This record gives sequence, C-alpha cells and structure tokens, in this order.
Amino acid sequence: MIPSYLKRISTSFFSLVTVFILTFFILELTPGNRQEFESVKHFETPFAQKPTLKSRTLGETFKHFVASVPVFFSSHREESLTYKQDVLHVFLEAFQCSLFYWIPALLLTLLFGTFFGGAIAVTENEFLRRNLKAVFLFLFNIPTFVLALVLLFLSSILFPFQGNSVERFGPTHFQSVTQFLLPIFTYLLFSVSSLALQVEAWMTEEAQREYSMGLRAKGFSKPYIYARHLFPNLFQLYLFSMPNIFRNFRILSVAIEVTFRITGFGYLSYLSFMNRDTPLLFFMVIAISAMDLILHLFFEGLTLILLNRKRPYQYA
Amino acid sequence: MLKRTLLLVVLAFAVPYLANDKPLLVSPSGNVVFRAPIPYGENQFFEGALPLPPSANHWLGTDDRGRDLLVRILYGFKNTFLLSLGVTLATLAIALLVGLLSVSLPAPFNKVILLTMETLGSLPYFFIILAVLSKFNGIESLVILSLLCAWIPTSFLVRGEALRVLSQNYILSARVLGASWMRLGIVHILPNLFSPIRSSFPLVLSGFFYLLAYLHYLGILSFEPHSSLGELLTEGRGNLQSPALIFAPLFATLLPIFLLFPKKGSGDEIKNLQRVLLKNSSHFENLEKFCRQKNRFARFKKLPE
Repeated sequence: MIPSYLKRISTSFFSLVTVFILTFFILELTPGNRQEFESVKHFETPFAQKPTLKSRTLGETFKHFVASVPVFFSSHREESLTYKQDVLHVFLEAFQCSLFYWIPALLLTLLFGTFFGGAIAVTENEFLRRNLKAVFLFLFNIPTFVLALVLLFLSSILFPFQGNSVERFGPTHFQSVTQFLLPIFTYLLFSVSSLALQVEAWMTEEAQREYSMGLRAKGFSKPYIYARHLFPNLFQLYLFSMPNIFRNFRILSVAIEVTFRITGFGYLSYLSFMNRDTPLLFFMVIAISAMDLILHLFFEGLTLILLNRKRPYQYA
Repeated sequence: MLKRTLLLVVLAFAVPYLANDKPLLVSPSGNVVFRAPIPYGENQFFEGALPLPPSANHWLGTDDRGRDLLVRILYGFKNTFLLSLGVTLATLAIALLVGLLSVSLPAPFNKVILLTMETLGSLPYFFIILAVLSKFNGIESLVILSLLCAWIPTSFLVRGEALRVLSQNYILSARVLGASWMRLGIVHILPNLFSPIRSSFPLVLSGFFYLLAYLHYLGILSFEPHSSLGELLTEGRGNLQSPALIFAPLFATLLPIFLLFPKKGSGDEIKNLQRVLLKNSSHFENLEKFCRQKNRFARFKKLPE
C-alpha cells in the first residue's frame, strides 16, 4: 500500500513539473507576453509609431526559463504587472475572498447533496425517482454563467431597489444579504446536483452488495439499512469527492465572479488574462495545480489509512 | 438522440433560409421574388427608441443597437452549434484512436500513452484555453484545444470499455487462435467502442457549445461581425430591464440540453447518462484508480503460450 502511495506521489510531482514547464513556455511564447506588454507601454501616445510586436524565440524562452526558476521559488518573487505587488500577496487576497463563498457553499453542498441523493435512492416511488434524477441531471448540465444570469435577472425583479446589476463587493463590504446569497446559491445548484447524483449512484451500488442483501433477507426495512449501514459508508465517497468539489468551485468561480463582479480568485484570473499579466497568470496556474495535487494526495492518503482500518461488515 | 441531433443540424443549416434580407429566389423575368419568412439581415440596423420592444415586425424586438433580436439569435445559434459540432466530431475521433491505442499497443507504449493522458488531464483546462486563445482565434483555437486537452475524459471512457472488452472470452479465443494485436484492435475491439462514444456525444457537443457561448460571454472570443449567443447574453446582462433581451438568448442557449438529453420517462437512458457524467467529471476517477491498483495483476495477466 505504501509503495503504491509513494509511486502516486512521484507521478504527481512529475505532473506538477510538466505543468510548470508547459505553462511557462505557452505563456512566454504566445503574443501578448510580458516583453510585448512592456514594449507597448513606451508607445502609448497616439502619434508614435507602433512597434513591431515580436514574441521571444524558443532559445530566448529557454534561457529565461532557467533564470526564472530560482526567482519563482525565492522570497523576492516577481511583481504583478497590473497591481504592482507581490504575486503571492495578490493571489492570497483574492483567494481569501473566494473562500468566503466556498466554505458555506461546501457545507451546504454536503448537507443538501446527501439529503437529496439519499432521498432519490430510498424512495420507492419510481415516478418521483426518475423525475428527480432528470432534474438533477438537467441542473448539472446547465452552464453556470446561464444559472448566474437567471438568478441575477430574478433578483433584479424581486429586489428592484438594488438596480439592475450587483456591483463590486467583497468579504468586507458586500452590500446586502441577497448579494452574498446569490453567488452561493449558484455554486449550490451545480454542486448539490453533482453530489446528489453521486450519492444516489453510490447508495444504489452499496444496496446490491452482499451485506445489504443479507440484511434485506433478514427482514430489515430499506430505510433502516440505508440509515444504519449505508449512510456511514458515505464517508468514503466524501473523501473521494472532496478535492473534486473544490476543483469544481475553482472552475465555477470564474463564471460566477465575473457575472456578480466579486473580486475573488476567478475574477482575478479573468482580469490577469485580459491584462496579459503574465507573472500573475503563471503563478496562479502553478499555485492551483499544486493545490489540486496536494488535496488529492491528502485525501487519497486519508482514504488508504481509513479503508485499511475498516472492519469487515457483519450481519446484524 | 441521433434524430434530435439531426434536427438541430437541419435547423442550423436552415437559418439563412429562415432569416435573410436578400431574396432567396428571383424568377428570370424579375417579377416573382421569394423572400425568407423573416426578411431581415444579421447586421441590419433599425432606428427608434432602442431597444425596440417586441412587435409584429420584430417578434422579439431589437437589441440595444437596433438589430432584430430573433435574427441575431438564429444566426448566433447557427454559428455556435455548427462550430461545436465539427470540433466534437474531431475530438471524439482522437479520443477513440488514443483510447484504442492505449489498450492495443504492447507494454512500454501503452504506459507512455496512459502517462501522457494523465499528465495532460492534470493541466488547468481554463488557463490552457486562455493561453491558446491569446495566440489563435476562432476555429483554429478550438481545433488546437481539442487536440490538446478535450479528448482526454472520453479517451479514459473508451479505454475502460476497451479493457472490459479485452477480458471477454471471445477475445481470449481469438488470441489463442493467433490473432495479432492489430487484428484484435481493429476487428474485435473497435466495433464495441462506439457505445461510450455514443453516450459521450451529447455531453461533448453541449460542452463545446457552452464553452463557445461562455468564451463569447466573457469577451475572450469573438465572431465579429457575425452574431454569437454569448455576446447576446452579455448584452442581456447590461439590459436587465428588457426581459426579451435576456430570456430569448437564454432559451436558445439551453436548446441543446432540451433536445439532446433523454426524456424524463426513459429510465435506462438517464441511468447510462448518469454513469457517463460521473465518469466524465472524474468524480469516481480516484476510486477507480484505487480499485485498478488492487486488480492490476489480475487484469493484465498474460495468456499461457
């Protein structure tokens, strides 16, 4: 077990290094890189002749890469071109703002996802089960920016005093409860439907295992078996899906924060692209990839430890 | 599902005949002229208190620059749908090929392919899109994107199905009879791999459709001077006081979901789709990896000579 986990860590490290190299080269070789950004700044007057914009060559990029690696890992990191601050500082500030929405969304996702998934799995009413599943599949597939726009439109009807758009706000200065709730509700619509579908699939699969069938044969009711024996095993599913829930939040945050104008992580990544802020964009890609891999490794390790300690099922 | 996809394709191709400011057919004498039911062009401007409300002339009204909204939605749907259909077909072809090769090729090569799939799968997708879009625009960007990343989830599905097929008795019989890896792959495994491709098709298609709409919505990609659904949604966001400006593009954006996804009564289709969705979104990926490690030696056991 431990060798396989160590192998997994080495594979993850290899993936991270590949992401590091690939991202660096993609960002540096594309037009609109830092070199171009800096050259454009000197020719802002309308009458000046526009410079011939030229990206770095592969050899120049390689030299720059060799020079940049120690800088990236040192305490004197590069500054963001837009904000003129340390990239780590800018990133952490935005990430803190996003966490303010992600943590309540995560707790509510676990609560409602388990409830609805369990309800679909337990119910004997075939019509209700199929339709609930169809609704969750539908919600799971609607793009988030469409959901966000619908909610924004509905809020503009229900709360006309807010004007027709929710303007910029953050963790310290959001203007009303509705402005705080709308983004969280958008996160929830996607993540609850996703978790509910997983819980339902997991419970249905577990209900067909030997220990569940044995309990049914002994005469225990279906809700009793689900609540007493299957529900505690859902913990494994949560361990597996936790990194993916965070990953989903990260992906959704771009659409949600751009629509609701939240100065969080997603909006920052969007702005860093639009401003061609290469150091910030590069740092964010590496930070996200590292965070994803660490989360995966942590929860996989936890799963290995817990599954190893799990006692065999016993019939009641 | 095929019928519904064909319906959308026919609708997309019929758009120039439904809405056009130029005559569709003129008789040789010039007396008889056939016009489209909606006689407005994509970039035809109208004057008045903009945006014009819905009326008999403009069924959904106009946008804030005076262009007919219905015409723009139809053309936006056509542009977005046809591009995403082309990219989907290319993506599925790559996924099928790579998934098959990752199983059919002998030991060192299939592991290299698997490692490549896992490494490319761990790239931050959205940032790769942004990076690619900063160099290329329009069709090229999406083709490069599909070549880079978009085929990976489907190729994992194809690989899983190929492994399942590989463990069947008739494959063992074929191997005992001396069939080569090439013959096994093309004759025996490939025909069975269209099931995951068929299940993934609506997901990949709608995924690209929404990706395009999303990139247009963010203002990262543009079809200018042609219409796109994402740009219409951005306009709608700025004009929340006019319901038609936001609801009509929203409905057009949701059209693939309404048409491509199974009806509520068909339980098996929903079950299949749920299975594909959960695998596609990699929620069970870790669990599968864990199980694969336990059964690895049993699954790849060599046949006795």
